[in-house]
Amino acid sequence: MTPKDINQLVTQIETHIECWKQFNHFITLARAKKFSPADDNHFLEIKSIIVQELELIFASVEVQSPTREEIHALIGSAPSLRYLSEQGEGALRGLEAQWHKIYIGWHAILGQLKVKQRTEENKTFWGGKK
Amino acid sequence: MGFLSKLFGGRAAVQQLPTGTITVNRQGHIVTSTVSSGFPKKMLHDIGRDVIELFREARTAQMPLAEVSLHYGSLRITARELRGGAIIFLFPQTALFPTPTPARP
Repeated sequence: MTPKDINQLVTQIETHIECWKQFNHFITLARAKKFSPADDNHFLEIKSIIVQELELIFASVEVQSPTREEIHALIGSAPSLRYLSEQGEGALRGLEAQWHKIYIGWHAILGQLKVKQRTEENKTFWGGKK
Repeated sequence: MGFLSKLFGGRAAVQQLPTGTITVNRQGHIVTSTVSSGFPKKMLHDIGRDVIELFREARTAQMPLAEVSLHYGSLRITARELRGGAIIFLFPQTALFPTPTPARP
């Protein structure tokens, strides 16, 4: 992977992580039962974007965790804000815990990529370390 | 902020409004899109670039924006800042939220 590829991937994963933050924001809205039909549409769009970005990332780098199955399971368990708002506190906590595991998993991947990025930056023109 | 004039300016062709979401990186390039692939990419790119520029100008003016919502008669554009990039929701008002008609006396 070239330094340029790594930089692009870092940016891509950073954007992806921001989408995961948005996902959590919507869980909060559902819990508070304060959402509009527009929020529900945005929630659907966020999930679509997450799933698409996931494939783009998986095509560029091998990711051990979070797995595609884990992510699809989480997204599958949150079909809409209306559905989530009708769930009990226990179910929402479970969803949040699953979200948190995936969210932290992405940060770990991002950290690993930043290590690679730094290693590449420290390489001299002749391939040795600075 | 002439989004619509940029989108449809100069051409008299009927163009369906975009429905869906795009994410753009800090350079204004589209990363992901749920908008129909039949919709001209250039137009989506123009929207993305203008939104990024808007967020950038707000930051430069030391009034950083987290979210921008533009309500046109027939299209609503909601954009949220994502670490220099943005997620942009495009919803024609007629598709999901019928435009309210003024009450008759």
